[in-house]
Amino acid sequence: MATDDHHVDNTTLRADGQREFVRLWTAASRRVHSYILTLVLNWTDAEDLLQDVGVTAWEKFGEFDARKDFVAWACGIARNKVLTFNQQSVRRLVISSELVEQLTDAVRLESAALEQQHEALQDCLSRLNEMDRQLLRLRYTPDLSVKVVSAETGRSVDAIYKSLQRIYARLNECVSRKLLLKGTP
Amino acid sequence: MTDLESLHRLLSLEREERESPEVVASIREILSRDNEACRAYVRWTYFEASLSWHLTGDLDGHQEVLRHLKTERRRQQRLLVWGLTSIATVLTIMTGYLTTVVIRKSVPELQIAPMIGWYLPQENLDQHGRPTQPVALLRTGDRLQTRGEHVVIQMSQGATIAWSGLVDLELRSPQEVFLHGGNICVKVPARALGFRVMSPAGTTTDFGTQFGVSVGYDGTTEVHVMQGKVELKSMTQESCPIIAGGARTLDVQGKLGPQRVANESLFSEPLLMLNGVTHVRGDVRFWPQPPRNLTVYTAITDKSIGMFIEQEKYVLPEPLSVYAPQAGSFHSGASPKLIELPAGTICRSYFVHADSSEPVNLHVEFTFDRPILGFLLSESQLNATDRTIGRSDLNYPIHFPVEQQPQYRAFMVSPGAGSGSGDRLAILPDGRSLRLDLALPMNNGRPDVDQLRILVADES
Repeated sequence: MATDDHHVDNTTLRADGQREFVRLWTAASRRVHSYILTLVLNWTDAEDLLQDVGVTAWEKFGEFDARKDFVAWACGIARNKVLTFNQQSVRRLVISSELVEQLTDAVRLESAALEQQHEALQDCLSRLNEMDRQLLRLRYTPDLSVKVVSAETGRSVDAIYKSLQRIYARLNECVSRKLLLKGTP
Repeated sequence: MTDLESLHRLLSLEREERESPEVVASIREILSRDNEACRAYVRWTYFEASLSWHLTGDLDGHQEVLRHLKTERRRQQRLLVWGLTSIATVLTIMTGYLTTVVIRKSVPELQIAPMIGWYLPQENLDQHGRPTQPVALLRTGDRLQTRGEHVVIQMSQGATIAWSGLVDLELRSPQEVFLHGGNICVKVPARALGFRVMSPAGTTTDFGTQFGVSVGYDGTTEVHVMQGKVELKSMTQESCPIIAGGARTLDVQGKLGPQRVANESLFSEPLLMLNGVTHVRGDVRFWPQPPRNLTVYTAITDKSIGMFIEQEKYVLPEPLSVYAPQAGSFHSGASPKLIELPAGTICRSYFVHADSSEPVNLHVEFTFDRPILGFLLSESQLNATDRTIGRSDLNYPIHFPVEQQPQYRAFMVSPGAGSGSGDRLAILPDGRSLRLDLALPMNNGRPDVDQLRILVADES
């Protein structure tokens, strides 16, 4: 009986912990991904490392102090992963630990502004027309090349690239304007 | 090419090229030696990552994207003819707008250069004071060369710069500009303390103030301080403080001239623009630092009208009865109707003062950058608001003994009472402009003063 109770308690605790982890990770993963990308400057590596960080964060979630900032904790794991990744990879450039610290400090100092930038971007994206938004998606959709879109839509590759540049510049301008209005230089 | 420019060039490369070891190494080299580039880089990577998350989170599939693109293509072809007509119209408008101010971008391709400010349009404002055309943004490295325009720019850190006429100004950071030539006026709030105006002769560093800088063709720099204090430092590191009311000259050899009295009239238009008056005509002086005593016998304005700001972003603690800014022409016998501004209204208060040692008629026109909310014209209205809206460091007539108070203190003497004073108030339909005709007679050998408060909408 006592064993059954203990089993139920453990299962319940584990289920609660899992729910809590999923909630925290879902909210934090974008910021962790951004931080990793800042360090490695490679989309594929950043995505691989993000998955790796997610797994480790889940394994070590029991050690996480709920009173502390989950994003900062997960970024700490990410930082260690990047440094290990550097050592393991022979074909990639090694980022110095000094630069890792420098970038980490910059991210910490800019954290409020970066969140405002994210919110501003969301708003600015919603103001784009559907055509522009879809075109912009091309940049971030790995399997869909500009050439494929060019062939399917009858627009030249050059025209699509130019459109993308124009949309990107407009978006950048919109975000900058919003940040300035919020007093973020 | 600066580090920031090099960084931008590298980050602008196509992804495959950008992620090559050579490019990554170059980027990291820049980051390790330049903190500003490091900051810009962090913003760029977070921007890219955010964009990716926003865009791919709800992607239904590639075919859906293609289907939509094809539909859009057909729709856009149908709109082409209509679009050409619209573009022609827009181009006509834009051409007029763009020629207002000549902007030479020293680094035109530098999309990543931080935004450091924006224009505050002085014309083409709607009835709420909002620009009817897009507001141009300013980036590090922009060089503004103007001929005869009225320009006001807002730096992101808080400093505001205004000028009219020939000016060549380079924007170096939110806290630093280089004046190559011309006259500019700067208003610096406390949060932008340390704002610097550099010139060929030296650097003017602000300590929370309003000041004007004039740079001649030979690089000679004059600094006139209207409010607060600045420090003027020559290229040879010789420096001196200049306080309100003072002025100094600095030549390109670094020689400081003697202390002089500030000449506000050199900057009269920019001063008004900095303080929310976009257009003015007539005999008016703006006082960044008003005279301490505002009563009779001071003859502080004599044959002109003085104006200053009493409050900015002032929140009315309780409802306030004011004369409405209704369009029309008014005088003592026909005053505007009284309305009540609700508690919580955010406003800016301008105080207008005119006195004279001899009978005189004065005329002035103003346009404010925000809608006028109301007027305090009668003596009782002015007396009742001296201690609330008025400035605590000034002496209004109510603070003086009766014998030093004017016989009449108001505008239009007693609005609505029918006694003619010769004062007239005309309010224009745009809700931001007005004309004041002031008559300053002698009453029983005693000079009169005309005073009024104008409440203008302000931002929170």
